[in-house]
Amino acid sequence: MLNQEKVKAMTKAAIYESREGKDDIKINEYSASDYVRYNMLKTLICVTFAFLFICGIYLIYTSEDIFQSILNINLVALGKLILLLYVLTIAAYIIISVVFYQYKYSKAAKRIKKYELLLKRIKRCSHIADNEPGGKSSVD
Amino acid sequence: MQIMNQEGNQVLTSLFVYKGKVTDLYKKYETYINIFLKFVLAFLFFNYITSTIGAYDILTKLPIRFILSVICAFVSPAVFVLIAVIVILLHLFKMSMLLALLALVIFSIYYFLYLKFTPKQGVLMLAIPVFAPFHLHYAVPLLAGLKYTPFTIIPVGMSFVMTKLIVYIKDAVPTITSNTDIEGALTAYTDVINRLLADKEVQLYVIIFALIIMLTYVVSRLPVDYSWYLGIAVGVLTSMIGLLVGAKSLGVDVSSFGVILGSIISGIVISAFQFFVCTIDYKRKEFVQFEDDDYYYYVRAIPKINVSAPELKVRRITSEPKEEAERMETNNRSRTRPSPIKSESDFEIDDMDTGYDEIDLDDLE
Repeated sequence: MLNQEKVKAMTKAAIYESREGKDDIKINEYSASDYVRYNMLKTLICVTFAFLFICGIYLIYTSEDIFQSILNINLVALGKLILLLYVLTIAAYIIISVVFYQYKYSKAAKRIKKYELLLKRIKRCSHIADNEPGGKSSVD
Repeated sequence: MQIMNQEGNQVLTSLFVYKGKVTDLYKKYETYINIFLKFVLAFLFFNYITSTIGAYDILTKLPIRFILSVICAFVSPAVFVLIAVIVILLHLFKMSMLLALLALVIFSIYYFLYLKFTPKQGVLMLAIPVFAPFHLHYAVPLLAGLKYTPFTIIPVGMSFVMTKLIVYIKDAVPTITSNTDIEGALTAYTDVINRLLADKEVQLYVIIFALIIMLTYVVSRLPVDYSWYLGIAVGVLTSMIGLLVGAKSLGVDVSSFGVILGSIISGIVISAFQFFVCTIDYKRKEFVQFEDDDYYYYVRAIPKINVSAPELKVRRITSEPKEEAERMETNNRSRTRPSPIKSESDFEIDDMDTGYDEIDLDDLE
């Protein structure tokens, strides 16, 4: 005999699993701090690459000027400036990524909590069905 | 006067009935409509790329463009953007390997710094060059302001950079004689970047479109009635005034007729979209399969169609103090105020709990 309550709960759970659930379950494998740190690290690598690319483009763009005045350039000051810009960019992106991924994690955690409630409801329905006359427990 | 009011009410009623029909139709065929719209966007984009920088013969052929568009229609927006970028890079690679590298580096910077966080918004970057020939690209910042966040300024701005970049790269190709001509490549790089930085048209469009997004976003979220439509109106006005004044002050050649007509039509299109489509909540027809110890389930979940309650009209029969009557009227108004629309991002299981109570049990096995 079909338990309508259980089918409804299972349907809702299946719909969730096929949509946001896919990502949420992956996110939920991490603790909040691990998830934020892991993504922060990925962001750091990406920003470093982007910064190197920007520096490369700038270098090519100003290559003629650089070749002409290579002896007059204060390399230490230039290095300091590049380092400062890099640190500022990284700092900005760390703040952005912490806020962004914390928000993402908390949203996913809320949905997962509700999903777990659905699973509990399914379990309860199965338990009741098993204990009913003619259910699995009674047959056993 | 009363007859005019009655006529107005009739028009409104018929408009809402029509809206209901369109909403139902969209809900019924949502999956197919979305696939079709993505296909059209992809096909128009590949046409645009072919007409602008079509150097790779195989990719310019109609069947290939058609197949690519079909693929883009079925994949996620992030993959759609990736395919589009790869097609651009292949065309540029065919023209000049060294210049394709410049485009690759610029797209990589864009990905690492922005697109990585919100890959879906990359579609906005593709929409502008597609709609620009029809003067409907003014609709993109309006939509971005209404549906997304002000961060969409970045993909919208990038769209103008991309459209100009590929044109300038194409123009710079003759500068490079061979794939090992480093000196020629350096000159070409400098030339492309110089032209891009000095392009007043790009500057004008990026600034004005950023303004449109910001104003539409802020105004459409004000706690006033019809804030969405107010946001669209402000966006349209910003577009018209900003582009015309900006073009004059920067000395950019912009078609005044195109700007005015395009902005107005874009505003109308987005208003219609908001009226008919955006009010549809996230629930849609779902087909899911699962199993427990006893059965395999094949379930079709049909969302309940919410019928709004008729507006309550309180007619005062006995004489009441004026303040009491005003208080009742205020309460009545607050009761009938429509609830804010949920976007797909607001999806929560709580909502699902009330949305899928009618399960098509015919499909159960």
